Amino acid sequence: MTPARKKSILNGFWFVLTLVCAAIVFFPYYWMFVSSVETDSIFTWPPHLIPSGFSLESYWTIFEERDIGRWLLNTLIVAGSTSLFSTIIAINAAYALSRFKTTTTSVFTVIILFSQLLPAALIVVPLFVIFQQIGLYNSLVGLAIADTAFILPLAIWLLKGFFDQIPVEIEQQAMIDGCSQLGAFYRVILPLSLPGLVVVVAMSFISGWDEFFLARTLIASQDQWVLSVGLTSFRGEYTLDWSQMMAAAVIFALPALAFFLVVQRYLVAGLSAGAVKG
Amino acid sequence: MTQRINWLPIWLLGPVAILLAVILIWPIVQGVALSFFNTRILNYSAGKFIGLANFNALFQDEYFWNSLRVTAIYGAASVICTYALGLGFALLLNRDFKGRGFIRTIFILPWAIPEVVAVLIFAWMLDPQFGVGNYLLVMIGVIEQPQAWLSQSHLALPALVVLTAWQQFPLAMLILLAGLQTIPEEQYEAARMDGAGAWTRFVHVTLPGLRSVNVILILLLILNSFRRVTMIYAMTRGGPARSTETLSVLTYNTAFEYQRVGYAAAVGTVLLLILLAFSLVYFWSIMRSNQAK
Repeated sequence: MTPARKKSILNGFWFVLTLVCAAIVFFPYYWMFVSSVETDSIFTWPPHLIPSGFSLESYWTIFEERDIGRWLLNTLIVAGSTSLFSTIIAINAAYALSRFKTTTTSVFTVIILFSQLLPAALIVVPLFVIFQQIGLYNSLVGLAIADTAFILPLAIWLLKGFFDQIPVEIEQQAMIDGCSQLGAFYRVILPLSLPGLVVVVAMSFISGWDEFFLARTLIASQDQWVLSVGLTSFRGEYTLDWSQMMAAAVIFALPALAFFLVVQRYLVAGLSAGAVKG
Repeated sequence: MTQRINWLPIWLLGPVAILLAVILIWPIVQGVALSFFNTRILNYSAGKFIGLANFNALFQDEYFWNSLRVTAIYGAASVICTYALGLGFALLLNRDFKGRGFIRTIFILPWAIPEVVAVLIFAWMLDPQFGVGNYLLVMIGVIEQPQAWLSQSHLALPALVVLTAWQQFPLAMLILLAGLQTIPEEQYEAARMDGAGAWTRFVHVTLPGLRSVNVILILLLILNSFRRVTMIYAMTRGGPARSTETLSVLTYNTAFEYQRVGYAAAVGTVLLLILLAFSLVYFWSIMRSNQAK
């Protein structure tokens, strides 16, 4: 066998292996979707690996029989507010950390890095009481504020990375032209870091959308539940219809996936760099 | 001469300072303080100072030792599986082929869905009666008959590790992929000249090239596994028979199921100390690798 031929066989082997692995990794998604649209009963053995038909009935049923609509709206409020709060706060903080090298900013850098590693399980115990004392308990805005605090360190860190790449000379030029320092930042630097802004908006939206643990602890009444809490509450039920459950899971997962796909290129680069460079 | 204070950064950082102080730092301080009190949910403001009594009780509590053991086993198993999948897929993706971007997106997807959705899909796939996971595992011969994965204490933890590895490997894969791309192609060429086969090149070029990335990544994965609550709590709540109750879950259950806030705070404080020890090593390795560059 010639070396070239051997090499092309080897390449083919690796390619097929890659496809098989990708298929296995993707399978749980496939199964979620198939289970939600299967026309036959999904309670069969052996299971139908290929659906015997296509129907959206589970989707209609779950909207009719459960509070999904309400929870969807609540989740949207929480995710939207988290995104809004985090972006506004992170923009200013990241700019300060990127452009000022003082004791305050270096102390802050350390605090931000460390606060990313604190155990949420210990935090929520006193937070549960603090939120009741300051009137944020069982409120969607309160939940969004808590989510914001948890995502801010990462948001600030990502955005700082984007600001660091923009040369200081650009805003100095704007300041010579008569802008104040903040004015130069908002009018010149911010538009230049649009991809960074999009990443932070999307990332904080996703984290507010997905969040379960704080929502489980800080929200009491069922009409204030978000999707993550509502969906897991079905699991304890005796007559659990997995087809409807998977329909609800698809509804919950799609917006997060959509946001992720839009920004994945920037997010992936920023996150993996952030984790290694710290 | 006094230096003029620049107020601008302080104004810009003010909102973050307030938020982090109220929602992360003050609760942590209070959490540590509560571990010296016999506070319960009902007497929250009237708990009595009892010194180290919570910790004394803790070290004699079999559930605490069980939880420490579960944390270690879950941590080790999930880090090893996550890392192995991450490295394997990073190596597969670090080759040139058509549709690489698309395949990479597929490999990242598990990371992009809400943890709760991942939990629900796995719970359905592992359903004892109709779960497709049971069906496939029986078909390829891993198990003889369908198992009730989540209600048997020796099977729940392995199921949780598989779920964790599936959801978390993309982070490891992306970091390792970035690490692989820093290894110069010349080193592989030189090894090939010396007649090194694929395995020798992997051991003598790839692995040493990933060393600093490896240390940081593995520490990060360990830290994440100790802090993880959503996935474990949503999947098993620490059960059955406390077989998946890591320190994080034990902290939460002690406070909110058994309402023993002071005792829960003591468990959480032990967790915090373990995390601090690991994060110091983590930051130290990051600083060292940054200096080396």
